[in-house]
Amino acid sequence: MISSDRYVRQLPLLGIDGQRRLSSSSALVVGLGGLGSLASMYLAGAGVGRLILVDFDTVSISDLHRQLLYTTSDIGKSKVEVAERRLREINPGVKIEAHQMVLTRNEESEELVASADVIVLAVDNMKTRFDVDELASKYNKPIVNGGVDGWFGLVTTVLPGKTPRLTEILNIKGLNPVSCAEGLCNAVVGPVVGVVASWQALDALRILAGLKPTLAGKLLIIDSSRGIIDVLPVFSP
Amino acid sequence: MKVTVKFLAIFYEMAKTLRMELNVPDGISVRELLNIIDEKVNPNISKTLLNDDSGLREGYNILINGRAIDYVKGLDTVLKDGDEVVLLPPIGGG
Repeated sequence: MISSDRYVRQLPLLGIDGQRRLSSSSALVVGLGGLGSLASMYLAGAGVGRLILVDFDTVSISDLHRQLLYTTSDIGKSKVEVAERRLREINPGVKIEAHQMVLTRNEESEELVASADVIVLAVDNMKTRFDVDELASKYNKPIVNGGVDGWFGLVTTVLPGKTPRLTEILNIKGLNPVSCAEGLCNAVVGPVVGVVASWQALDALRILAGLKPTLAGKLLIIDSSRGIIDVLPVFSP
Repeated sequence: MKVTVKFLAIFYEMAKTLRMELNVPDGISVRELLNIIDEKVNPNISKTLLNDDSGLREGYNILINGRAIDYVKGLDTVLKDGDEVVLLPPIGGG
């Protein structure tokens, strides 16, 4: 059931049909770090019907400057468990599933991908991006991918059969599965993560509401140190 | 012939410009273009982009008219007049 009071400010933009589509859809958020924690707040707030959260990690003190879903008292706790509780507080109408795991090419991951209508890809490593790209392609699921590094951010939306795959855009073939968990953390400031996560949430919501995503077949590059936003078209060979 | 090169993220810092139009010999490859960029713009650009085997470093990317070069002919891809070449570092944190 849709609470019109809760969504009254977005209903003129999404329409009642769009809101209904949202409330009957599922979004899989892969990675509950900077990007995924913020994007999931917008998805929950907007009334996505089912939010599937995947992350293997626990909250660290070094997460708190940008991962605003978590607080100091959450340090050491499972990210997906904390996120599940907080997101339910944001919107009790959203069904939230927490999976403390690494999404990879196994049966459990395949089931999660197959059950989602959109994938918000918010991880810190290329190995998982590659695996998600493979599964999304197999199950014909759209991906909204984000990345950050320093003052820079990147967003692109992949629509199976309509746009190039992530592996065709990002040069992620054969990369080592290095990630922040292995001590290779890049520098980052919160607001850059916020811009990228917001845009990811935006395109995910547009897809779920039946609207055209803004970055399908496009690569958005943000240079927040100079106020430059560039949108590059990407094509399949 | 003329090609346009876009220098994004750290490559902007090296080139001090976002976009540059270069006059280059007809039919040069991406690898040859990088040599010209090293000479005319900043000698550290190809060192940053390429590994010791003269291949693209992991995560770094070159797009030609929106196509990742790995999906064309890599660094041996031959450029044509009017092409747009984009240099991108890895932006993969989450």
